[in-house]
Amino acid sequence: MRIIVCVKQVVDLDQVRMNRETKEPVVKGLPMIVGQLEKHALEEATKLKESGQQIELVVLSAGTELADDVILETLARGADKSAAIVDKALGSASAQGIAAVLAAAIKKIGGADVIMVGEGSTDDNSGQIGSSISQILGLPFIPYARTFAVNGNKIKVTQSFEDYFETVESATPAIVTITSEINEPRIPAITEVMDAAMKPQDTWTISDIGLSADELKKFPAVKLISNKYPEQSRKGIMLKEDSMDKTVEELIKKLQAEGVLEK
Amino acid sequence: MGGILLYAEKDNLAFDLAPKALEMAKGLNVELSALVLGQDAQARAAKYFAYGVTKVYANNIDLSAVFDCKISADALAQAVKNIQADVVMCVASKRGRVVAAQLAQALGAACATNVLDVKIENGHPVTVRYGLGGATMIAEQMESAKKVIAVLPQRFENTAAAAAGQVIALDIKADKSALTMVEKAERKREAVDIENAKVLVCVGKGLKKKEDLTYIQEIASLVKGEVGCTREISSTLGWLAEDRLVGMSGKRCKPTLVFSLGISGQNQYTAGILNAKVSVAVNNDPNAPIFKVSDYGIAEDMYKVMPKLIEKLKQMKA
Repeated sequence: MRIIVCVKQVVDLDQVRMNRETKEPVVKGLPMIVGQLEKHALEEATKLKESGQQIELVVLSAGTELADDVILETLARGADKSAAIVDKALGSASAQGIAAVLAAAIKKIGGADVIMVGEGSTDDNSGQIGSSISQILGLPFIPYARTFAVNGNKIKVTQSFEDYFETVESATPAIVTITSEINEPRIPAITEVMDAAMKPQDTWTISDIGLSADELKKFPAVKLISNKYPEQSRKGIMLKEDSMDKTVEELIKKLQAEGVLEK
Repeated sequence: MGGILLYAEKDNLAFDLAPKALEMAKGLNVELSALVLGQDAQARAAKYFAYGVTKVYANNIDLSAVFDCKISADALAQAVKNIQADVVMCVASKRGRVVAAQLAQALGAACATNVLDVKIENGHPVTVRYGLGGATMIAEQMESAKKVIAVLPQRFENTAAAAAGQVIALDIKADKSALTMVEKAERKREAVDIENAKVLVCVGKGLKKKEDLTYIQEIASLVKGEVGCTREISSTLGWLAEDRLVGMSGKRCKPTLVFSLGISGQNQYTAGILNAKVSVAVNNDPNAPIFKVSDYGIAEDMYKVMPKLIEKLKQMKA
């Protein structure tokens, strides 16, 4: 069977800083990394492969530019090959436009038995892409997987909702979104990192997958008005006295002075 | 311009959002209606009148066998076309979020999910949500005629006077789901309201084992607070119920005092304590980002701090 894992490249959030004047985030030039939930998806698919199932694992990503390191990491994490849609026209695309691009790329790859997407992206976390792709391709959709199993041409997934864990079955092909509850992604071994560079990589523009910039513009657009850090003024006082005894006493004193600690 | 259609998978979630939907309808000068689907839809529909929603469409298609966002979204799409609504306001619960995305794709509508608030500016709805994993606030305007707005579950205060309304039976065709339910297990739940707790004692992955929660619980009881936690503790490890999850994917809290113990301070978590009055952090890593959003910090092993904190709080009370 073929599994396609859709991966979003995201900026390393730990490195984003605030511009003190504008309160806006400074993201330009920062390293790009593999989205967190996508690592869980790759781990799950790789585990299936290791269990003896015949699986071709393809990783799919899209963006205005994609970092080589990101693609290589996904290959090191177990993908057999990669497909990337790299096109300037994706810069202004909304979730619906990106979903259409991914759906077209999935068709170009020749479809898949299972398509895995993170339940939300590390940066935006809008959680729309998996559902949107399933709408376009007309495939069954199973969100929020915390367990995943393949049985012949059926998959069984336990979904994590706020109130219930719901286990459902579906025929393949189907689209599944992955939660962090499903597994603990491992760190690729050096040999896996070295092998990654040898694996096949395809890079396509949107015209290669049968779309055009004009068609992308027809998808509903969302205009950004502002993206700012919220006003937050914290004191940032570090407490360190001669002993833990005194440090904690000092903390209690401070909190009493603030009037937030009742006797 | 067409009207606003309010929908949620559970009536209580819709009631919580109704005041905001009403405010939007008044601001845009359009009609607000609601859609109720499922068992007893007609009877349930009349309950919306108390929230100022006076036109409620109802259809008792069976959604109980299995959650399939395609069936819900398809029903909503039929309703939107039938009543010519331009804006769908729904609740960004986990189910609601995927229904919203599915619906938007079908309608050719722009879609905003996990919306914290929505306001009218220059005659257009402007949505606000978290950006960059909870670090920033993003304000956006959807440029399409049809819009789907999924607002994070939260209670907007109901100021509407109960009014007489009408329940209208709506014809909806539902396909059979491609999914089969195998098993349904209720999640461990706790009747706890951390959103309105005055003091919160939150714990993260610095906690080494589940039994050590007794430290956290003791501190919480001494400061008359509730225990909260990060995603690792509730979702990954399952040591605490998700009702205690603080942050972007959990509850947004506004305590006067919050302790963050053994929490590194990813935006995912800190987004939930943005509105705390005083913030205290304990973490063994002096460079942990949590200290940047704290008033008072102790860069020490939480296992050294907790027993001392318990001792000193007891002394204070004595």
